[in-house]
Amino acid sequence: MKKYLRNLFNALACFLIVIILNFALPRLLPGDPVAYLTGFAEEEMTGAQVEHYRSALHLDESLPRQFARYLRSLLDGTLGYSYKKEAPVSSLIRGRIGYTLQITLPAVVLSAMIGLFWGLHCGYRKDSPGDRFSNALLIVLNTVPSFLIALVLIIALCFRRRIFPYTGVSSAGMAPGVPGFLADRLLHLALPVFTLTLAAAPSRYLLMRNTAARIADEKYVLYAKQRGLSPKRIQFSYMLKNIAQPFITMLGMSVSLCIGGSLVIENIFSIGGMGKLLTDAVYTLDYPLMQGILFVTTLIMVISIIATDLLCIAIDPKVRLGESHA
Amino acid sequence: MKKKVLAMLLVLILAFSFAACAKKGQTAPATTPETTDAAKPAETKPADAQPAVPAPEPVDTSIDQIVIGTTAAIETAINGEYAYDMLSSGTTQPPLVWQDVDGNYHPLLAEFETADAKTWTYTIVEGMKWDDGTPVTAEDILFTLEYEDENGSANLKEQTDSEGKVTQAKYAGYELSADKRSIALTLASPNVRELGNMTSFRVLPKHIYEGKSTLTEAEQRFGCGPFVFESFSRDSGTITFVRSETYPQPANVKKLVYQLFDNEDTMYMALSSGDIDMVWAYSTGIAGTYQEVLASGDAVRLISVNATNAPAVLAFNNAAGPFADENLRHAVALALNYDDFRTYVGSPTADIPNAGFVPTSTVGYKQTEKLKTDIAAAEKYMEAAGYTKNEAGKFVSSDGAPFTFTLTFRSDRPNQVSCAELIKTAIDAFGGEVILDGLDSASYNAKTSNKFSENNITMEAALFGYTSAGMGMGNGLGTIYVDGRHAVQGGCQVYDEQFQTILAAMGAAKTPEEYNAAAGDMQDFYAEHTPLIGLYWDSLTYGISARFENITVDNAFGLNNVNNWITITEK
Repeated sequence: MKKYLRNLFNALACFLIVIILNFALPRLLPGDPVAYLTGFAEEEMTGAQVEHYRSALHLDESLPRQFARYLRSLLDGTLGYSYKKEAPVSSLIRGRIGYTLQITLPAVVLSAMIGLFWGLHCGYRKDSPGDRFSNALLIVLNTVPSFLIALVLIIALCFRRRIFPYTGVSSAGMAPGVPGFLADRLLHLALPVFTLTLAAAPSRYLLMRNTAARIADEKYVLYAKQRGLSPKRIQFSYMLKNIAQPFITMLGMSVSLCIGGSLVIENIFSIGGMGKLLTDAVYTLDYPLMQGILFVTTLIMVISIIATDLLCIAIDPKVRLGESHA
Repeated sequence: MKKKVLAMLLVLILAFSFAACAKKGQTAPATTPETTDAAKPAETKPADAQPAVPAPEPVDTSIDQIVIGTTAAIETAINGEYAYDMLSSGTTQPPLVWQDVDGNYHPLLAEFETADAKTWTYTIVEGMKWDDGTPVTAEDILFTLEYEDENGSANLKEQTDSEGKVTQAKYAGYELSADKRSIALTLASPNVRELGNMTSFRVLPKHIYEGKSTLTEAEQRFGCGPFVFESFSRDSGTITFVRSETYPQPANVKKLVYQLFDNEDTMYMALSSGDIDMVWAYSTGIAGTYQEVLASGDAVRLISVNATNAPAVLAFNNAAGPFADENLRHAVALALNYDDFRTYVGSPTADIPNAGFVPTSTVGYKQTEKLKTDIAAAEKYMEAAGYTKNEAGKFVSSDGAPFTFTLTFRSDRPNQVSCAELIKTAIDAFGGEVILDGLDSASYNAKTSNKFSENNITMEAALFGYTSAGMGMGNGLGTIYVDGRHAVQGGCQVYDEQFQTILAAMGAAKTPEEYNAAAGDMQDFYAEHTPLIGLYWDSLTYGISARFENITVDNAFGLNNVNNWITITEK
């Protein structure tokens, strides 16, 4: 239990550090904080502009008051203002995050399931021809960049075989309530999700396979085999319980990693999600927007870590019942 | 049992994530999209049919739908968003006039006439109506000029910026006709090329905008063109327009769908495969690398037109920094390798520019010497500027400072990135040093334009891409980018008396002959003083499905223009 409480504390501490760094960095770095907080270069602004932004950003107030304002903007959800896009950061993120989650959540679940079942299976039968083939295949796939996977799939499944659409998340004219909307949405999401799944699955597979292979020679596994239990029962009733924790932890971490990974996929499939927003922010040096995205990504990551730790506590009897009962 | 529970759990998670994430589109069109196939011609009766048989119904040969792919960064699709304004100029917001590829002007929203190039009378074309049926009037033109003045333009009243700099009003006065169909606008000084400014002048509906501090999205999408805005869906990345039934000359296309792409590769694959019918980007043709691929198939027809834009310009800051010294401008111009720009950056039809800067199809063009590499001559200019070569082969001034300058460019423009690298390579080999300063658009504008820098242009040298409209604005020949007094542009920061005299002569010209004479002087000035140079000239190449014919190309808006939708037919 102590380990999980420590993890929880670490996650919250990291979150707090990100918040403080987000506030402090523009004010501590060399140069005028106005430049960092607006995204415009110092030498490109006139004195009048600098004064205007300094007042608008409350930089003429004391640091504690500025920090209080900053915390308030986090609590009320506005997350600052993008001077380059002329909109509150929260509204920009709110308008985009839904698209990203539609790709990343299914991809996280699917890649985790593939990694879990395939990895467990190959780890149990380690060094078999099937295991060797799977390892080689997924190690190679792990090295292929996601944009290449996406382009190959588009050429093969969109242009050569007219199976999937390749732009947006819906067809023109489709909206919630229109017959066929869900099927159309699923068809549009299929290829981006599949691409992201293919890109993410190898690492999950390798983790599960190696973890399973390590415990495949444990006495309790050998004993189960001797008892004549079926391989599936051994894998899912015996081995899975002992490797569930690293798997769940990896699942939690992969949510935020997938948000970053969807950047390329969104560009290729013309889906205007968080990846597109982050690209725009980096391209235009829109620091407030970058900070907002960093905050949201950190928040998602912290929530994921806390959720996975709670899940680990729930499924681990040693923790749940206390060491003495185990 | 456990497997079933696991499977159900999985399905539930997926269904939940879809349900949680699905959000409504921006605006849902009422109908589902039509097919991209054109309407099939109906069967017709033989010519000698009996009179007793009722006459056949008129055959509608209109094209059902044209899908246009674009990488334009449109986020709101409302008037005032630059990329959307350029797109809607070909659908819902026709400018007052249009210019064909030969440089001739024609009425679009308004007829035009002038007797002295100073007073221009615009008369709204008969039958022009707003989307709600209200007639378009000359009062709308006047309202638009006044509305722009409220937002910083200097049309009818002079503007003073925060530093006290005054921009004189463009017009000295106006007169509305009694029937409100005509307005006579009197310029502060004559301009024979005034129509060039009107190819991008879109009119706002006075009856919608007047007296309102905020407008709804629908109001900001109001138009008077041959199409009516139907929907913008961020989910599908489409903007849809349907044919207006009130436009005097109906379009031959029932529906236009603009498909927004983030990725050019996917867009051109879609064009090759026939999923989209054409591609469009304002003032930009298809890049040379894609042209060769598209030309290899039969599905796409490529149309090349002589361009009056300047796709890559090296502009010097003539007022401050190293290039205030004319010798250094000449030296750099002579040290560059123009074959490289043409070969590696331009399309297969690209050409080496003249020292007179403007492309051959520009009104008032004059033949000047072609730009060329001449290292010996460049070295002489360096000597004249006080630089000598040291043992390392680098130019240094008398106090030992190396010849170095910062080159500002847009890092999101591939052709500027390529040109910047080629310039750096050439100048490094010549004995100088170039510091590359790639910027996003906002930061770039804040360093290179009078308006966005609030008259604090800090670039030493910068790469630009001037559109056709931009080249023609003001007195033309790209002078708005050269003239340091220009309220918006003025990147070259030229305040030279000779330049201002020639500019005034261009502005005072009352006949095309007078204008051409002054324009010739301006090109001689460019050649003699090198305030800026073109790096390559290029034709603009557009791509459209080979199933279409009778295509009209607009000099400013390419294939996406009102007339094209009226003339275009299917083979």
